[in-house]
Amino acid sequence: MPEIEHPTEELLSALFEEQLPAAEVEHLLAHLDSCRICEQRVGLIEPAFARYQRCRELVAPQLPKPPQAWGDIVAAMQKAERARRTVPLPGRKRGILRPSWIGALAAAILVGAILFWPQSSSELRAETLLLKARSASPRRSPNSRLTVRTPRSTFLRPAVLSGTTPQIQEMDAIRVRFAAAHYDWSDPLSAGAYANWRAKIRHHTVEVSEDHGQSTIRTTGDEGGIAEASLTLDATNLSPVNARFVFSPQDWVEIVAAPDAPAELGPAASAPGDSVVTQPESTVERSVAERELMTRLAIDRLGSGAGEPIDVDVEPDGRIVVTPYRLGELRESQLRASLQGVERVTVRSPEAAERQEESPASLAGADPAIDASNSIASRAHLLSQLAERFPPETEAELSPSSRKDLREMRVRHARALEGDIGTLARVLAQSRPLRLSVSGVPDGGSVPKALLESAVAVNRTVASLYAEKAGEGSSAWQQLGEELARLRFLAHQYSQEVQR
Amino acid sequence: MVPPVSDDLSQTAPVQQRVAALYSAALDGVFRYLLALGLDAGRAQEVTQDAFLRLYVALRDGAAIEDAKAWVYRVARNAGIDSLDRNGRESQYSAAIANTIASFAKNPEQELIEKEWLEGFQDAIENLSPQQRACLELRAQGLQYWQIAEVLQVRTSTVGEFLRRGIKQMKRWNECRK
Repeated sequence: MPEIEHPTEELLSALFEEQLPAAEVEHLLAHLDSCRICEQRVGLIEPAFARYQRCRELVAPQLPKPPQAWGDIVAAMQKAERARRTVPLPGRKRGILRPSWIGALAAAILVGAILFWPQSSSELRAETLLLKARSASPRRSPNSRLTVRTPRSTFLRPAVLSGTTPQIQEMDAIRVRFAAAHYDWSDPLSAGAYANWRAKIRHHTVEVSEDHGQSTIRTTGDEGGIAEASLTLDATNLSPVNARFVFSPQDWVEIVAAPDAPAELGPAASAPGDSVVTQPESTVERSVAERELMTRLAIDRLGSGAGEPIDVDVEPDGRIVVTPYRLGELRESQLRASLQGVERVTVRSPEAAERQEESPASLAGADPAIDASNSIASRAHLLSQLAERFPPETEAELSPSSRKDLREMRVRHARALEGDIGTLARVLAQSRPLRLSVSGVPDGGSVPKALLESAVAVNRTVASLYAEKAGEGSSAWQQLGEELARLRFLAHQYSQEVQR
Repeated sequence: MVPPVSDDLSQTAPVQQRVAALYSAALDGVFRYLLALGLDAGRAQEVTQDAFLRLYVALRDGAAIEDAKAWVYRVARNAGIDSLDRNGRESQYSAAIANTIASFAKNPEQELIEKEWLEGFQDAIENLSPQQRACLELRAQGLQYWQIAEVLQVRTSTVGEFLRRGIKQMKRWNECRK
């Protein structure tokens, strides 16, 4: 057996200290991969590996855990294998199954495999949920009804339409649109209708989210007229709770399960749901909070929610006044268009003196650190406003879909805020080393408020540092490190809270 | 085209056993690596499970895979990077470190040295490049240097260079703190 030639102490030290020729590094690492003695020597020479390992162990309890139990890999492999075996081979005789049976059987078994592997992707999760929901859906009572809301009207309709259901103009217009999109309007709030529609959309993306005992499948497509359709299922019995169909930002239909019609008004067995009840807009007017949220969402969709100075004021009489201070003509007209579906909202043009004109200098971004810091302050301000305007008691009064929209807006900006903080830390670190250490853990109280205060403090310090060109030894840098660390902690805390 | 299928289910049993063994041995490591990349826990779990199922399909279909463990990490890494937000996300480690430091503040009896270590680690990890962080994490998980090169699809000498720079960065931040 040839004697192994171990590298010298100097060479092992140089491996992670100096830039050695690539061939030499390859040779040394190959040796380390096969020699436990030298690997241990490296551990003694270079303590960084051991330190990294120790720190990993310390933080391990705080790392997120898998949200679900791990899937059974053996069951998943076996199911997938059986599903594959049902597919006929080209040019080979695989028995006498008729082609139509083969396809159905393969699909059924593949679905079985999916059930054993429920977390493999959002698509599979969606398929699994819909499959379970279809098989779990009970027969509907003839008196079951749905509330249908559009930007222009709200009405009640039977959950399942029959041939004898009288047509009304408003509903007929929607029926035509659903037919064009290949969505079954006769039973729209059902897993079957939703699944069949999805199957017809060739290119789509899907997200599945869980919230407050409900699972929502959101599918976006690029064909067929419906740009986005969401179906929310009750997690306990998988019955559909509501659905939302977006044809365009101003054109949507929301369908919610409504209480059953009273028995005395209910249809005879031969004519289920013949009583289509229409309600004029005024009798089902949305609450002020609902309209305010719709307004804020419309602004947010323009991409102006956190970056542009747009005031949203609610007058004592419930009127909502939106004042954009620095939007160009085009974006202001987009804003007006996006608010058309919201009742009693006015877009107010600011007085000339109030208007903050766009100037190349203000938009160009004098420094990436200042840009990031401004963005952080704007987002924190928005999140604080949302907390102030939609406290838990107000939020509880919103419709399920509005609650979902509000949550999604919070989550979106919380994540973006964390990203902005990371960007700012990286940009600052390019100027000089910045120690981010939490000197004190913020105690209880309103996190969004503390977040805003912290963001404003960081913004102020960054602005002052860059304006004064503070020197290397300035204590302001240390202060900034502490403020930024605190802000990051709060942003993370907030992000966890809203995603819970 | 439909891939060829063996006629006997038992022919795939050894492959399934091999994948199942690796699944139980490397599951946590892959999951944790994806957290370090910046995936949230739900997505990390999905990507992890998918990677092992893909390994099974690849082995079953006769793919030449030199090292199954490195292959799974590589597939998981590529899928994980694809699913990250366009702007990328911070490693889940950053948040975990902040929470750990916060928990120290609530437990003053915790050893000061550990807190200081962790603060240094926090500083350092923020400033590592994704490749440097990946190399340190994979090495800490026990992958050999050539396996790390397989995962990252780079030469082994490049892994050495990433590690050298990562260690230098960590030392630099530790010195700054003193």
